[in-house]
Amino acid sequence: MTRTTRTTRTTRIINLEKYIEFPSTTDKVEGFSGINFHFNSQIIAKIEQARQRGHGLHISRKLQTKLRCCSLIGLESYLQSGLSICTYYQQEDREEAVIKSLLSPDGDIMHQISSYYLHHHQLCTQITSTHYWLMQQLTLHLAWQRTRLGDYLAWLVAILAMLGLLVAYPQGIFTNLMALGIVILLTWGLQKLCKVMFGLGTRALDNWAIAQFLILSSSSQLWQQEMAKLFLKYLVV
Amino acid sequence: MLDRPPKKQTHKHQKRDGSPANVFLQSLAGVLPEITALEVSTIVVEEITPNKFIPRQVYRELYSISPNFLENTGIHPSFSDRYLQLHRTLLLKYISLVADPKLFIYTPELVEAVNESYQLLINHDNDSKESTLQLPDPKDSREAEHLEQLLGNASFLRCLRKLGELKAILDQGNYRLQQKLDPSIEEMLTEVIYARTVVQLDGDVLNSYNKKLFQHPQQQAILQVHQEGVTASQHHWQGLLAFVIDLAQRSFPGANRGK
Repeated sequence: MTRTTRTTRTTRIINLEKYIEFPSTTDKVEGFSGINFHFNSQIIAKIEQARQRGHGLHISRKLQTKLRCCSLIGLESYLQSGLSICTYYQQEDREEAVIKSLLSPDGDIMHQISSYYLHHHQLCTQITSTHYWLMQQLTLHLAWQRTRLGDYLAWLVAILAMLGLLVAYPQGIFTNLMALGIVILLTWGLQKLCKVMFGLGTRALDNWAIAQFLILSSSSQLWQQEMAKLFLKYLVV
Repeated sequence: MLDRPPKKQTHKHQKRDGSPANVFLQSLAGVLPEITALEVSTIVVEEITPNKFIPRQVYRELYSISPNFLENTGIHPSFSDRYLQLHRTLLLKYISLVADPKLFIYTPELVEAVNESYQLLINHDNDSKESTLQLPDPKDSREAEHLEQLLGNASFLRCLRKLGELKAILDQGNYRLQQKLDPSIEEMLTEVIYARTVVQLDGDVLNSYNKKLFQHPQQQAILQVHQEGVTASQHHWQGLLAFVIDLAQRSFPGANRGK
């Protein structure tokens, strides 16, 4: 937690993980739920401050994977049947839904707003602006840049090459700490070199991986969906 | 789309439907042809229902809507048309799907009925229960498999989800009217959507506002929430589309180079 706070200060981000509730990706329950935000006046003020300073939303890698899973995998995903995002506001000891957005990937977007909060103009504006801002921030976290396939392949090649070397010249390496250190350094250097060498081919590899992912993610077979989840968990940056 | 295709093709289509490439096309790329514009609606409700969508339950509720059913369940007459409209919309979605030879649920035997029903349904004065083609009965075991296929179609699910939300809003309004919680707002309640903005792909923007909005005491607040919602939705949707199109393009590298 301390580490996160420090990062928040230095890289201009705000961490709201505690207040965002994602649908569970492991328990298979009947029906599709959505993403809920749970706020109170302090959090809203904190978010407003962060927005004024131009900070972005930070969510952990684990939650990012959850977001991508519930958006992209299976028939119940955002990309298939739509996504519902609801903001709850806590006042004194009760919590009420203020605004709910149903986002459909075909371009139909429906915002429902509670008439009670419309009577409190300023509070209503604050809550709805925060809701909309978070909705946009989540979209940014949905997209990924590339896959790690090239990185893993480079490590594999480097480790295999070094293992080959060890098998060929086993004398003294395991007993000599310095020699072992050199081997580790060489492996690291070699994987860096491989990455540069693979550089040109990585995009083709990425595209191939994406095609596989899309086939797995849209499958109705549970094991294929699990594979797609693993893809999002380990292969995507 | 409603043209009758030769029957011989059925087997071929079903066979092709099972291939991974086609499963993908139906799902991800299936969204793309449905995108004609970004449509943002803002609705004022008394109470927001929780985030939960159970397709089978929503289907059962929408399936049972008919003039008789509405009368028997005591739905306020001012809501009847809107409830019937939900059923009609779902039925239209269904007939467009069974007539689409690219889909798994395509049923060539029903194509003739599709044409007839379509002609009947485009006239809003007709009762949708008179249509030759009806939604599969959820209680009929003979139609269970067909219904299963239907509920496995993403396009149908999207439609069902939106209609489910609208029905929940109608149910709420109806409840308030029945309970006479606030009879003065009767007219307010029957109008569901207060503001709607359509951003077309060519950049045209169409705003439509319900005339009740201008009598609403909080009209400025509603307009502000709607306007902000439109801007946010545009950014969100552009982001989503860019990502989806990037995925689609990258997974079909051949498409970039042309055939």
